Amino acid sequence: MTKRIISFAVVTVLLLVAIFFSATTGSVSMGLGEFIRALFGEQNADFAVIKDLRFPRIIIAIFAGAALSVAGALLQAVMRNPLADAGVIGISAGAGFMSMFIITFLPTLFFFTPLFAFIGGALACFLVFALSWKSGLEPMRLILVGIAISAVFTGLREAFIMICGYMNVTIDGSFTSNMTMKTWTEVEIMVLYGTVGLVLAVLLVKWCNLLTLDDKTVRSLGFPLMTARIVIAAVAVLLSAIATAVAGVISFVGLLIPHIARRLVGNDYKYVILFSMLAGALLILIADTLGRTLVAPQEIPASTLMAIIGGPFLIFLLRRGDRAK
Amino acid sequence: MNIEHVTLSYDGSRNHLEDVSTAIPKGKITTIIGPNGSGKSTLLNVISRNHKVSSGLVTLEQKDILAFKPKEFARKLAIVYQHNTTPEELTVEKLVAFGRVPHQRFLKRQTVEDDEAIDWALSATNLLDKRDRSLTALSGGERQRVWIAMALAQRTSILCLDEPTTYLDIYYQLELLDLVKQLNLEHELTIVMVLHDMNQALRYSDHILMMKDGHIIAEGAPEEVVTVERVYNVYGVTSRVYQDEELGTVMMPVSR
Repeated sequence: MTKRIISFAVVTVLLLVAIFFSATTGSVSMGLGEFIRALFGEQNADFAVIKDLRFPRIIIAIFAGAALSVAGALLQAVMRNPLADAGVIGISAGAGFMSMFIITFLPTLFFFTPLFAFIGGALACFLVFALSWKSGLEPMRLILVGIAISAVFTGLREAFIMICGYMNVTIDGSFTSNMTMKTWTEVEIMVLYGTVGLVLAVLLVKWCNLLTLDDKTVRSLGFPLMTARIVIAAVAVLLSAIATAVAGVISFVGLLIPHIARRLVGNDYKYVILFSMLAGALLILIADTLGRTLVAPQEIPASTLMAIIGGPFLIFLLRRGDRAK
Repeated sequence: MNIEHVTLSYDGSRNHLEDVSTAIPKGKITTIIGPNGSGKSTLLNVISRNHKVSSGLVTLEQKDILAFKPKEFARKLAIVYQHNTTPEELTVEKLVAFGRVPHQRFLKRQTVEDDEAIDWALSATNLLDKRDRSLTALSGGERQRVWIAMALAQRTSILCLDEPTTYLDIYYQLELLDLVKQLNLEHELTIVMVLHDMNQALRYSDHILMMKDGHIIAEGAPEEVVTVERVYNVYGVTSRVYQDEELGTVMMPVSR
């Protein structure tokens, strides 16, 4: 109980510190007092720069991290698989390819990018489900199928970029996997769809908890098991699609964060999901801030940093799973 | 509850239940016995709508059980399966509260009625002092009682149990069967269960269904159903069946 409260308090404080640090670090910098005064209305030229340059980026990093972590927790509930992650099993790759493909032909539909990303993500999610259903969604097999699906969509995306290059069709710069040059329009998209997805996820915590029971037991309660699975998966796809559409493909967050959440706040999805939001936001914000400050003025995308941390973590989880057997 | 000409085949090659017809007496303990593969669990799964029949009909209150909405049916009949995956770290109370799902609508908060049903289920299964414990911290017998408490929280008139004693030590087996008897007597629950141990079936049931190869071979009061000839015909085992003053009918297997 106390461990749970402390964990929530610590992650919240760290998130606030990270926001401040991220906002005030870089080519334009300022101290805490100056920052807070400016935040509450004091005129400050530096703050105006920070606001336009860094706030969109910070907000997008926070929402992308929260969305991807919660998506991971939801997928793990619905697949009863601790290794499920939108990036690892190809949902992000599907979303990334589809949104880029459609927006390149129909650039005026920019505001609907998340919708197209959703279609691509849903397609990938459906394929993974369908292809590993027979094995009872056995964790290893699901991951293998997911990696294959992910490879296909990543390949399609790269091929598409090449073909467009030959034919002199320009691809919108925002589809490259990073968080630079984010505008307030993109923030609006992220916040709007992201909030919808996160609120839906919170409403579904009881369903997620129910799915920890055996199928036949859940059915004996008259609970619409299949509907619940589809709804939860759809919300997970929605969340990862928005994050991918705005911030690019970022893997492993949805794997790492819910795992840590379970360790710190227990297995009740009410806490897993709330904690994942905060901790996911924190992680991506840190990754993005480090990425742009470590080798400034060059940048390392947050997705690259996540791959470096996340890959070994997946191996660690797989090894632990082996020992459990 | 009536079972009328029920035939069920999982794979089409053989009938796991063949033209089974019987009635489950209301307010009584009915136990289905028979060797492995005789169809006893299959029959229980048919009654609880977990398996669809190939032909025939099961009715509850003169209505085809398949005609009930899922939640409506779950307010009339609850089932506890033999094996349950233990969700990590969920508290006893949280788990028992899942039994209220058939009474709840999406997003509606837990009502006073729900709280009362949960308290009642916990007290009937003697788990009130364990309500905040996590399931992993309980013994096998206590865990099995938690699953029963969850079924009780559904507030049904019929409770089905699939081999409830299988994974328990004899002490907890008796404890559990005493609980079942108590639920039947004090709360007038209709009990339908599958048991492996024939003597437990003899001792705790009002009504016995003996099955072999997907058929009901005999049914009725325990002492009428279990005879030396039937035990030999159904199980291929010679036995002695005798009356004990305290225990009633007792069956002792002798040789194969």
